[in-house]
Parts: sequence; C-alpha cells; structure tokens
Amino acid sequence: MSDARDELTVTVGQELPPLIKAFTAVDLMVYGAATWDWYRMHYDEVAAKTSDFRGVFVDGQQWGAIFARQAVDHLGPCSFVTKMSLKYKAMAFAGDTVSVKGTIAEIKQESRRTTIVITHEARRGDTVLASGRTDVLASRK
Amino acid sequence: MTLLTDELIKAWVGKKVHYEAREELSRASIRYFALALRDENPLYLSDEFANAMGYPSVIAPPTMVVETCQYAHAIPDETGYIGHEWRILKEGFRTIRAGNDYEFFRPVLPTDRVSVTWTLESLEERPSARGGTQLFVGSVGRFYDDSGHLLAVNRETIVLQPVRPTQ
Repeated sequence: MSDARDELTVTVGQELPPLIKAFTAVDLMVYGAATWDWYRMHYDEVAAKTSDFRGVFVDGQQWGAIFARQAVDHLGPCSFVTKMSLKYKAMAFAGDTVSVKGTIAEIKQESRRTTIVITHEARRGDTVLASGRTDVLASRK
Repeated sequence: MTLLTDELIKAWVGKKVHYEAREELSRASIRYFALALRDENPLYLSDEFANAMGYPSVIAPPTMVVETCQYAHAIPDETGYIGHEWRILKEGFRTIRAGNDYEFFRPVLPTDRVSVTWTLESLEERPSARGGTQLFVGSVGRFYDDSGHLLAVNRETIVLQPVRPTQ
C-alpha cells in the first residue's frame, strides 16, 4: 500500500469497490472474542434459537468496522474517520453472504480540510441489512 | 403490555456508570481485531509502515475503541456478556442493536489505556412488529485516554424485545 494522498481522486456519486463478505460461524466467534464480547447469541446456536432467533447472528457493531474498512481502504492510510452513523435494519446470520456498497455522497471543503462523506449499504440479496454514513477527513495532517 | 412506569424512567434515565481498562489497548489486541476482520492493512500491523505514514506506531482500526469491551472486568454470566449493559429488563427479553452514531477525535494507539463513561439518555416503549411491546434504550458512551482526553463518543440504541411476545 502506498501513501495515496496526492493521487487520490474522488467525485460525488463515485462507487467504491464493493466488499463481499461471507460470514462463517468462525467469523462471528473471532469478532466476538476480539471485542471481548462473549454474548452467546453470536456463537451458541441453541441459545440463539431459544431466544427465537433463526441462528447465531452478526453483531450489529461489526457493520461499523466493515464500513470503516471500506472507507479507509479507498481513501488511504492518512485518512481519518471522524463520524459514523449506522442503522441496523435486518439481521445477518452465519452462512450469509453479504455485499457492501459504498458511494461518495458529498465532498466538503472547510478551510484547508476536506471531508469526504460515504454512504454504505449492506445487502443479502434484496434485503438491506444495514446502512451507514461515514465522514472521513481526507488527511489528518 | 406496559413496560415503563414513571418510577422506572426516573430511576434509570440520567444514570451514569464508569469503567477503566486495567491495561493498555496493546498491539496484540489491535492485531487480533484486524485478523478477526481479515484486514491486513499494515497500518494496524507494522510500526514501520505506520511511522512512514506519520503515526508514532501502529494504530487501532477506526471503530475498535467503541466496539471492544476491554474496559470490562467481570466473570461472564449465563448470557456470556461482560460489557456494559443496563439490565433494565431481564427475564423473558432478548437484546438487539438498532443503531450507533460515532464520533472519533484522534487515532487510538496501542499505548492508550481507555476508560468509558456510559449515560442512559432515553427509554421509549414502542410496539414490535413481532407483537407485544419493546423497549428502546438510548445511551451514550464517552471514551477517554488516560489523560482524560476524549477519544470517541458512541451514541447507541439497544432494543429489548420480549422473547415470546404477547399481543
């Protein structure tokens, strides 16, 4: 990866490379472990079904990590995420394959700071699972 | 079914609780988080690369500070969860997330020892599409470094739903 500060070109309406994520039970377990979140609903099928869920499910906050990654991967290592707004609309379960779309929604110039606003949408087929908006400072320097 | 009473709202809204991590966030935790997301960005893995980008060391992925419960220290109960929760309604309810709004003020470093203050801001009862009544719990978590400077704010909405809804 190179420092793309001087090369980056973004335009409103531009689509970011989509992320395709196939969630396995292992993905759910390791994310829970890495975040010190040992809530059974993310790894214990019996407990999840006892609580009337279809199965073990993705922690909603993981969408924030995935959307932020989409932003940083595109805008580069000197960018800085300043704000995120996330709405969880339907649940994703182990075994689901999800596509995440990101679009440059706005470019704000304030003094010498450029903020790039990205909107995200995670879908399983036609079902929207989560949507988000990420504000990214193009360079924190 | 009514879940909220004036007494319950008065007892809970405005309540605050504070947690302090016992140790620094650490490079190991940052690498673990990145691996969990299958993210090989060298910004999270290589001091050399991070230095070249102008950072003092590797940094945490953007949302890690608001996603990790590393600040907690508790023996897991039956639910397994040791992070912050208010436990307003216990038996017969399940918990899901409705949304999060984050603000970030600087990159988080492995040497940061994070503390968080949670404040319960709102309780609202709404009908559930599954039937019955569900409770929307609005909270804000303010995350600080060990000098007391704000690292991030997490405003979140949790929904408590009856496991077996009654109409």
